[in-house]
Amino acid sequence: MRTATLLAGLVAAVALAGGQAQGAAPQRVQVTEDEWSLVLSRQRLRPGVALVEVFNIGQDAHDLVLRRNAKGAASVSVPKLDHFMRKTVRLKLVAGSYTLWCSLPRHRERGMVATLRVR
Amino acid sequence: MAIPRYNGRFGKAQAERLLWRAGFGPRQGEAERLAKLGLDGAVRSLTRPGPEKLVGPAPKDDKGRPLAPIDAYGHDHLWWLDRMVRTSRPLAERMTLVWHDWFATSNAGVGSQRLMLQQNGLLRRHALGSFKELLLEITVDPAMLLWLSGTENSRRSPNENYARELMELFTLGEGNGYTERDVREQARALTGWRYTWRRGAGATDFRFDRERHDPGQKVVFGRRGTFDWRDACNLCLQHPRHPRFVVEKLWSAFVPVPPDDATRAELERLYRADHRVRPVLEAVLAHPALYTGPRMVKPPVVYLAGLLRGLGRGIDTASWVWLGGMAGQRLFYPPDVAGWDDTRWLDTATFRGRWALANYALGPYSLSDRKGPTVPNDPEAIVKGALKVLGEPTIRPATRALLLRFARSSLAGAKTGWKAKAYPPLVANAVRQLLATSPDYQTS
Amino acid sequence: MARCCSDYTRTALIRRGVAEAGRGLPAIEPGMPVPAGSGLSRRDFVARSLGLALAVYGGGSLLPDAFEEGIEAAAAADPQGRVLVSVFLDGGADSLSMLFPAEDPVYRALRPRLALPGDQGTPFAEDARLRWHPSLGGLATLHAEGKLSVAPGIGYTTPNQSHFTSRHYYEVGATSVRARTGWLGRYLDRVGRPDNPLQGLSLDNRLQPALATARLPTAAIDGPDRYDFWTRGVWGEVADRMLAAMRDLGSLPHGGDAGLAVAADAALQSHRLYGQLLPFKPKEGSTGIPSPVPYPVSEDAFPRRLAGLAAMLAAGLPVRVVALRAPGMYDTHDSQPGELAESLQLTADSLLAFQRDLEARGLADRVLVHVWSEFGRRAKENGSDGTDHGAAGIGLLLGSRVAGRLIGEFPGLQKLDEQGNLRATSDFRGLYCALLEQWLGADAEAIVPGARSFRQPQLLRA
Repeated sequence: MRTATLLAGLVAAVALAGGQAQGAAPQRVQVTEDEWSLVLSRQRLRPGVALVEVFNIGQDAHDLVLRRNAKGAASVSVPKLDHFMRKTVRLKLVAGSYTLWCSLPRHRERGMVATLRVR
Repeated sequence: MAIPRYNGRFGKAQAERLLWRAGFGPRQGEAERLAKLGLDGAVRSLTRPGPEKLVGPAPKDDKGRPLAPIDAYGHDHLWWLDRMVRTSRPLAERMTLVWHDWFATSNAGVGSQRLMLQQNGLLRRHALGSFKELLLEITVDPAMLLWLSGTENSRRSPNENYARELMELFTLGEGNGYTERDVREQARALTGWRYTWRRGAGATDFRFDRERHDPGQKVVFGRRGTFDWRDACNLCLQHPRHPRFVVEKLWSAFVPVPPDDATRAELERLYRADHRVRPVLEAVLAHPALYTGPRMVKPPVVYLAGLLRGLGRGIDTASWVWLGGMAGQRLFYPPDVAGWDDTRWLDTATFRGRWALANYALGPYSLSDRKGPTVPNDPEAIVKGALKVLGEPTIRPATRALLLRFARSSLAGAKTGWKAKAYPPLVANAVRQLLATSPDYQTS
Repeated sequence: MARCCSDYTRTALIRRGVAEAGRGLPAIEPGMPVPAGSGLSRRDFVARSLGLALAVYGGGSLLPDAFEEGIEAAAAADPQGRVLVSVFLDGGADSLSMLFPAEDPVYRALRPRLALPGDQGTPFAEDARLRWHPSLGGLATLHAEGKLSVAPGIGYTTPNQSHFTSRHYYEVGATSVRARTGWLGRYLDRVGRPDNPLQGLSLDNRLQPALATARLPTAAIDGPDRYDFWTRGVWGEVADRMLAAMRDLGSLPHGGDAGLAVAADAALQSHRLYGQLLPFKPKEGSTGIPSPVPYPVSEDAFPRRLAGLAAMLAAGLPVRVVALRAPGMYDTHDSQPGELAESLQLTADSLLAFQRDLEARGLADRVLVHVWSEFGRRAKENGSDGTDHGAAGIGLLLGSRVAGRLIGEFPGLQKLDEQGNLRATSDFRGLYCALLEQWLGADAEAIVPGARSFRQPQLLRA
């Protein structure tokens, strides 16, 4: 029952955001990785299910870690992708601020880090 | 002197060619309807369409989800392909493709589907409008600024990338009426554009920054002035060689043999007045050369969009993305700034790519001997059925005869026994595939 | 921040530079069509969806008949013609692991975590300081037989550390970003035929840039066993008849209509190619191309492509220069030990199988294999079990006719360049000139800019 309510809310939210009702479409965001940046196709998502597509357009391999900025929050990681490879993960996001970064040594320090807000 | 106009019969075959050249082929019955308007009416319905209506099922991915053109790889390609399939303004959409090929920008160098789609909107807005406005806007379009180093071009370190292509590829033609010095001076005129890099969001807030602009005197095409980016464009637009470049290039998008001198001169005159594209298009689309000249190979994306229009099928799979690459045309990724080589669409690899496109397009309509409608053991009916599924394309009698011969000989040994039931659907599938990949259907 | 931005556009520029590397060259990478979320590797993708394809690049308006005749004429004119195969280690292979200075204390100091144990791998007979990487047993075997020459410090002055730029230099045979033809393409433009696309063969689903010509046709086949015209709901004798009908459609008179002619030619050429490659199709129930020796079993196309190439040469197809990519990713910024060992093993084992295959078929004297990478890697490891982009790297020449001697010496770790990279002891352009003149019998000066200024090593045995 709770799930159903949550999903209904999600549908409404997406329909509102996209301006067109098209069933229970998950939100999507693309994270483009390059040396040395992470670029998100949008900075803000609604709470709920989201498809996160990681696309490495750089020269080197990169991975991606995503973690909510809260004590004890678990992190999700996408294993290392060679250049021009990509991978989509399906996540259920609760409200909050998330940090995304490449966890390969020194890549985060060089700039491969970004923030995603969910609310 | 007036531009020659086609005054032969304007029937279904002529309307069909017009729809392929100036759009993405006919839907079922569309060629007949267009033919009824006569040549002038048909051309005007393309060059002066009403507001856009998208006709047909909404696009979705393989899991039935709506497309996310900004947020998912390949959905940019699918989104535009859908537009080509469903639009009620085929020429505007086809011209958007022509401009994409003309001001060829690749996301391989831009790295942002959002910026590529923004540029695509710009191309569509000016699809049938003013080349001048288009040129001015594309020059400072964010994707173009990234692609051809416009934001790397500052008074301290000028970058000639855009200046060179502006003349070589966009407005004049290689080495046609400009010098290396003009390239350098135009680069100075174009200085001043920049963006702000925002962590997580990338390049944003593209803008002109006076501090980065070189305000000094420049000499371009022998004229002197403190030119800026608008002047750089206008100087090209006013260059005496510019009209010829534009009309020849536009013409070549619709007719495979160059225009005769008189026609060309008239087209230049039409264009020169105010850089409007519509009158030029109206003249080209009514020209006898389009209807009586040789056929043209359809670009791969046009070929596919037309197949889907003929079949009445919407976008329901992401396979079109990689298949498009296999056939030689992935939208938003032209091979380089010169665009696709429209004289070399077909080789043994891209032919196989088109075979695969046709195979995937026909897939859902594939016939089986176990389920679905029974296929009569009748060669004539099978060929007729194949033509019907594909929207009754016009083919040469020799092609039709060959398909019939194929069906007849394939069914000859299948009069009785298990083959009698199993073979007709096989043969029907094969005839559709052969028809869709025939030289007749690959060209228009 | 500033760095971020400049890197952003730098990549764009480099890509553009490479995209211009020749008429008909593809963009650097239009993105690979892996279905989202499927987690397929690029390798899987290539094998499963693009399959093999042959593209004829260039060749103008020649009819397929001309190609057909050209191929036959070329085969007849020079049945014993020499073949050069170029194999690319993509990503910058770590030469210092492929041949490692086992006892050098500097090596152990620079590579505290990555240095290979001093008792592993086979000693390198020509230089007592060096040992072969344990996964390179196949190369050690060929070296012991005198069938392998090593250039342990190959490179060029003012090395560029961008993958794309340095690779481009090696492909065009010059340190020029704007060059538009490959060095092998220019060779073909001088000596090739206008009617034999097989003379330059990319064993890949796209043209390998080293083979980009300005004028003459070349071909790309992912492998000779994968060029099919599968059609849903059509099989058996009806499928065979359908392909014959595809040919017949291409043979219908086109009445001089140029557009129809092009489309008809494509159908005809495709059908001919399909027929030519039919003998290389694996037999029912078998997985590979029939060959006299076993090749490594792998999902990667590399061993299959080499087996296919040997079969094509044995069938007398007039192939002259060939380019393909080795398996694996050599850009080992981290997790180097495992990744590198795996890539090297499959590469070396496949190359050894190829040599044995050629020997068994009596073709070994006609073929020489050149292995290259865009650069070597930094001498000092990087703290994440990996190494960063370097300068001089390794080059290999394999074949029954090679001299089996060092090309330039091992540069050693005592004198690194200012960035801590190995110094070049031979120039790749000198090696190209030697390959052109000594192996292919061409005038290097007409092909490699500044050919005279590079020292040519002696490549072949006397």
